[in-house]
Amino acid sequence: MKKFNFKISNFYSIFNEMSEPSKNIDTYLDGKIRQTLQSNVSDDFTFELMKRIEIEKEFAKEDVKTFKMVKYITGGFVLAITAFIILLTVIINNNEESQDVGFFNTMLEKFSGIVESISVVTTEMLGFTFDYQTGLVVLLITGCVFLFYFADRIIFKKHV
Amino acid sequence: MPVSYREIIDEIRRGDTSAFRIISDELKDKAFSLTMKILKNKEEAEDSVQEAFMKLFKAITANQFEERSKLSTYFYSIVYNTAVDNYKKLKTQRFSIVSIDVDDSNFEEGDDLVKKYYESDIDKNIYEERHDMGIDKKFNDSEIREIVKNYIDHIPEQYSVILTMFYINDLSHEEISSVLKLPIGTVKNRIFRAKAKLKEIILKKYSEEEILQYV
Repeated sequence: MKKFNFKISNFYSIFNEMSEPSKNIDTYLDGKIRQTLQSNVSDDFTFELMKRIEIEKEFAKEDVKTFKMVKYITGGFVLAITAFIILLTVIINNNEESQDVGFFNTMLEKFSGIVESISVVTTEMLGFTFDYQTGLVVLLITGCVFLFYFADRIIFKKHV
Repeated sequence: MPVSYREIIDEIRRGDTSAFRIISDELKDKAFSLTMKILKNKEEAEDSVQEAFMKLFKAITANQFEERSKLSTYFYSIVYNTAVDNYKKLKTQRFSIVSIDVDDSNFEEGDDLVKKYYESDIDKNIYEERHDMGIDKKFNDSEIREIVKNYIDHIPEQYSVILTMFYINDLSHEEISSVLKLPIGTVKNRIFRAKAKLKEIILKKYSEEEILQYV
């Protein structure tokens, strides 16, 4: 009886013979799929794109200019409010220490008159008194809001 | 002249926008092929690809592209998402009820791949022709190309988009999986099934020997 002689190399050669044509067909089909899926843009595509890019670049430059302006305006406004608060505090303190009638005191009296009239109106309408301290608190809050807005634009948005 | 994407990106960030032309020339057709599979309209697809390029440009200039992924993979992700967004917008504008399904969550793996293709008239014609002429019809390369084209045109987008990403955009299974947010096994399975079915269709029409003679 003939003995069956199995060698692993025979097995691989049979397997390779079987898989080779299939592999070739696969390669052929891969090429065909590639050809079929490929589509091309129109000739002026890049020209149109580069035009849009140039416009975008110009807009970006304008944005930088506008942003700089907003930065300076906001910064100036915050500084003005802060300076005003400090000045007002100094004037009030001076007024309490000295009773001299001067330019600042006259201004302060006028300001005081405005605040008192606002105070009367707010008491009538909203039910709370608007005095110096309330005014300072309102100014301080406004200052903080602008400061936050300023910081938000400069520091946080820059990193987004 | 810049040679790598890294150098091109640096040029663009320094303000030389003309360097962006190199990226455009390299990726425009590949991006367009992918977008066409979703929007299926040349003008709309070109607009969508332009939009994707603009997004890429802004991402580069604003330092939003953080080179953790390849530039091409990052860009194809933008291309795909832009095309899907535009498809949804266009669908809403046209109040279309006949639509492609780009949303993978609605897709069930199954026999859609085969059904859609066999339902097409073109396919029916090919089979009728084959029946008339018999199996000894001469091997014809352009006809095979036509079969492949019809097949690709009729399979669901869940297959054709992945095939485009794999064959045209040269994305790996892993990259496709990350762009489409699909399990890697699903990606591999769809590529395998799409190819196997196409092979089956072609081998019904031509013998392996005929094809191999040509190859």
